[in-house]
Amino acid sequence: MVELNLEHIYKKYDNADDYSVTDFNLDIKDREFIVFVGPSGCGKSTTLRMIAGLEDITKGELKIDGSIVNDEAPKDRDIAMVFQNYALYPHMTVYDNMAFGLKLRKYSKEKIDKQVHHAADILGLEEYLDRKPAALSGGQRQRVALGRAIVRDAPIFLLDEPLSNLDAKLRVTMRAQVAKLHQDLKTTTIYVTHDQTEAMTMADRIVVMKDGKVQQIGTPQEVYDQPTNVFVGGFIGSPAMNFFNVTLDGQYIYDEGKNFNLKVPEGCLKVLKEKGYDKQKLIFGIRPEDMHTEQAFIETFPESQVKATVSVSELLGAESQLYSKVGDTEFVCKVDARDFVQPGTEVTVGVDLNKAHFFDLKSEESVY
Amino acid sequence: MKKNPNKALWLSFIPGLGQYYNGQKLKAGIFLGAFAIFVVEMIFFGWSALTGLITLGTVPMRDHSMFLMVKGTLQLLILVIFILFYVLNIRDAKKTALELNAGHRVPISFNEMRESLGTNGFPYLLTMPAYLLMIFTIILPVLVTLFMAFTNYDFDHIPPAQLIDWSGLLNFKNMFFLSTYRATFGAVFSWTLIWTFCATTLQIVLGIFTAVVAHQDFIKFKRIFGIIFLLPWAVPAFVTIMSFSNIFNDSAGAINVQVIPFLNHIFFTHIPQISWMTDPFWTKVALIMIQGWLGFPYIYVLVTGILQSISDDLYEAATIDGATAIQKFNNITLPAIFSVAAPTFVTQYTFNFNNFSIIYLFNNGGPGDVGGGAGNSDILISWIYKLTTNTTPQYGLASAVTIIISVIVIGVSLIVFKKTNAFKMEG
Amino acid sequence: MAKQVHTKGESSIKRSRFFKHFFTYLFLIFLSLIIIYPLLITILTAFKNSDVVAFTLSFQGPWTLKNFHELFATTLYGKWYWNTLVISVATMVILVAVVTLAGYTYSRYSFAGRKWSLTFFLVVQMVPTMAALTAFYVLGMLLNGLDHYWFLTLIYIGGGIPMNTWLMKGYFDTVPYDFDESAKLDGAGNFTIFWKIVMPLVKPMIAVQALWAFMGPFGDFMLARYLLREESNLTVAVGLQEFISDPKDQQVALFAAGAILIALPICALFFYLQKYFVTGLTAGGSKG
Repeated sequence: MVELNLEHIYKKYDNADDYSVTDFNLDIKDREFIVFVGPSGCGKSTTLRMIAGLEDITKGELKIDGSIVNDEAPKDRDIAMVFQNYALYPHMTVYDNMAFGLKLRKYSKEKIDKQVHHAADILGLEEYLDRKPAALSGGQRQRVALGRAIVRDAPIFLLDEPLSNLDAKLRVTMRAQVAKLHQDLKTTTIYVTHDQTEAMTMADRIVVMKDGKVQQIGTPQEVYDQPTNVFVGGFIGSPAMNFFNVTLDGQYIYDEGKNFNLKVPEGCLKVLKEKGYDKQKLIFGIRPEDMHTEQAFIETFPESQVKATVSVSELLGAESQLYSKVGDTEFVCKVDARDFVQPGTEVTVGVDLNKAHFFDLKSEESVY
Repeated sequence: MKKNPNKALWLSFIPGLGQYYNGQKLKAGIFLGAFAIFVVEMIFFGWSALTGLITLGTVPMRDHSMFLMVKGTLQLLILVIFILFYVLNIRDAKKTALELNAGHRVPISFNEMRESLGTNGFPYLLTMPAYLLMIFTIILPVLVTLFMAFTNYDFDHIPPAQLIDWSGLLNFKNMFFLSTYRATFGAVFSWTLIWTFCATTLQIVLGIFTAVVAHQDFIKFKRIFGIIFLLPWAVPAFVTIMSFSNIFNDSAGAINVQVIPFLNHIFFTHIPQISWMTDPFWTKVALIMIQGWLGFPYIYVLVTGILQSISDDLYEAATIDGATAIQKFNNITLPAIFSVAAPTFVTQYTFNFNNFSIIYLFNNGGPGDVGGGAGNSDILISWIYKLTTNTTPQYGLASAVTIIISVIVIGVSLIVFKKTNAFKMEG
Repeated sequence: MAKQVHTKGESSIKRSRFFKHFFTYLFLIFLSLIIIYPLLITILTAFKNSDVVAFTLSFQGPWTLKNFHELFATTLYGKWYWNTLVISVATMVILVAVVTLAGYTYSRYSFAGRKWSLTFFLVVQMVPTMAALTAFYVLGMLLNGLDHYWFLTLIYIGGGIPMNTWLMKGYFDTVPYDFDESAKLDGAGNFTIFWKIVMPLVKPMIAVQALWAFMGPFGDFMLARYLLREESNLTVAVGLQEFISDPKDQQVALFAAGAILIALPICALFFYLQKYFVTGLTAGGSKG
């Protein structure tokens, strides 16, 4: 059983003017797989390093199983960590790399041997145990780094962008392997990445961060379906959510140049009006997959159409992505491969307004 | 329990009191003890040492002026260190008070203090030996030399029989205005500059040229050439310089006995034997050539390393753009070399500026005499050596020359390092 | 027609390539000869009769080992060699230890005064300390250090600290900080990180530093000549020079034999450690 509580955590570096992490709050349950995601410089790695004890916590409390560990040395927190560049000791063999932490903790020879071989077995590293890191491929090094963390049998597992140095294909394989490891070991895990796909596929809960501030905490589905603000909406999902500046007028929303006029569904309209957005400007967000070009959809919803010119179109086998422009706003829709059209074609796009998101123009917070 | 930081600050004008006010009794004791030791030291030794530095002694045979100067300088260093401690003590008192007010824990007991020293003091502990050694072997001697430059310490004033006196800028005045020394200084200084420039430039150009030529892909036996080109660096310089001194010997050396006749034989020329050791011009030529021989391997190794790190893509892109070999060298190779090696090149110049061994070992600064005890091939540093070691030593003047050398070397290095951004270091 | 032009162009390329190769090899061989010639003279002379006068390249015998015998039997060469070894080894051990600690500290820790003192190191390193001859002499007199090795050794060590600390710091900087952090999480303390993780990775640089520190006292004349007075206390460099310092009575063969005995071991060490030099050089070079 291990629980982690981050309470009002702040971080400010000595030579910096601003906080790198501001008021970070999170309760991590036992065996949970948490992913910190955000663009580079958002403070996700800093937070992870504060949990590991590699950075001081400027303000706030970090609790492991209820006791404050702010001032405890990293080795006393019993945490295992995988570094972005793996940090495999170049002068030690794979075996010694994995055994190092156990030796320092004064485990018996037999126990060390057993645990190293067990970890090597899980990760398929048995035949490389005598090699030095320089003689391994990128994927193998990655697995050694994981192995080094596994042998420790630590209750908390931290991974700092562990897959970012691998090529695309290997990344997908390793992603599955890490997910499976977590299922088998059931260790409480915090995983840092800038890749929203990794976050979506692996996490129990995602923490989206930007500029040192937590934007949203939730399951992948929650974060995807109910983004709390424009940033989260745009960051999670690929291709990113489309945004239009629109004005709500009666039952309709229209854009600046009145290039389209879309009918807002009853329930949504009621909420927006209650919040006082009638005749007001707001941001309308719609995911690319909620924009359709098949005839059936367009005919069913005649009042949810946008006419636009395709500027770039990509055929991705099963689907195609049409990058189009309406007024000055560019947007992309993800449609069936059959509906692929050449650039320059004028298309009518049906918008599924039941999936619409609305954000306040100023605060960019979600209003529906 | 709020502490008044300013009160802590004022109290610690007597070291320890501010700490006592902050509740750090043990620390207060240590600080007060250190202060007491300094005061006692000042009364029994320090004060007389400092006055000794000012008077440089009053009674011959009883007072050894130079010893007084060294002791006084040492006391000066102790004083500086104490002032540093004093300022830190005051700052510490205020800081601790502020931290107490902010609710932080401060170390009070012996164990807590030891622990805090173990983490915060660790870096200081590790660098302590380096600092102690540097204080005694660099800072103290350099300061004493600096002071000596303003005294009349020479063969007429040898302590303890005679006293030494402060003479102000006399040594510098003599060097620049007294006709004999002025001529010597002018001659030695200008040859030092010519020597530094020619010898260093030769070794750099030769090193770069060799590296570029030997780097070509088609060359066979690269390893063998590589080893041969390293030999002048691998063999200790003093051994080769002395060998060269024999080889350039006017009557029995290989150059005059073997090389010149051989060249005359092959090219049907009639080059006469050259007076390498007795003609100032030829001694200087020989010195510059020898330094080129000695110094080029270092540059060669450095530049070869840089050449290997330049990506072939750059050359291929330039070839496609239609660049000639010379354009490629000027626009790709040279900038790459200089961006990495510029600081090293500067150190090569300053090294040769003070390259005592080659001047002394090749021809002992000779031939001849340009006055003031200096020979024709003497550079400033070997002149200093002669001023110090000959039968009528001029210690004060030698020190003045040392100061001038130091100012030149440091000044030039600082300017160039600043320009080449060698100071740029992370954190 | 077109074909003719083609072959003509080809032959001109061939010709220019021939000239390029010819002059390249000519230069390389010429330079090699210039390097080998004086060294070979010294080596051969060492095995000649001690009454040779001319210091020239000659492959004519008779060959003899008499010079080496004479060196140890009739001169103080053996003693000088031993003196130098003592000073060199002491300088090497202490200097490397001190510089490694300081370099590691500057690379790994941030502390008050770090930047300031690093700049101080850089400036101090430029001071030609050996020119402070008189100061060292007076200091030696005061501390009774004249003619004593400990005094000279201390000066060598002190003089080497600033420059070598910089080089060492630069090399420590090339070891990624990730290793330290990873070891910290593995449960390693300050000392374990230093000794088990970082030190093994900087071994090459330490070897190079050790060689340089070792060679320093071999090459110094100015201080050794001035601060050591007794004939039997001299270092080998100063002693060796005595063989040829008198223009009327130069013992070139004896000198050559003595020179070889010094150069050989140092050369061997040099080439043994040579592969680490470039790394050390460029790391040091780019960091100033």
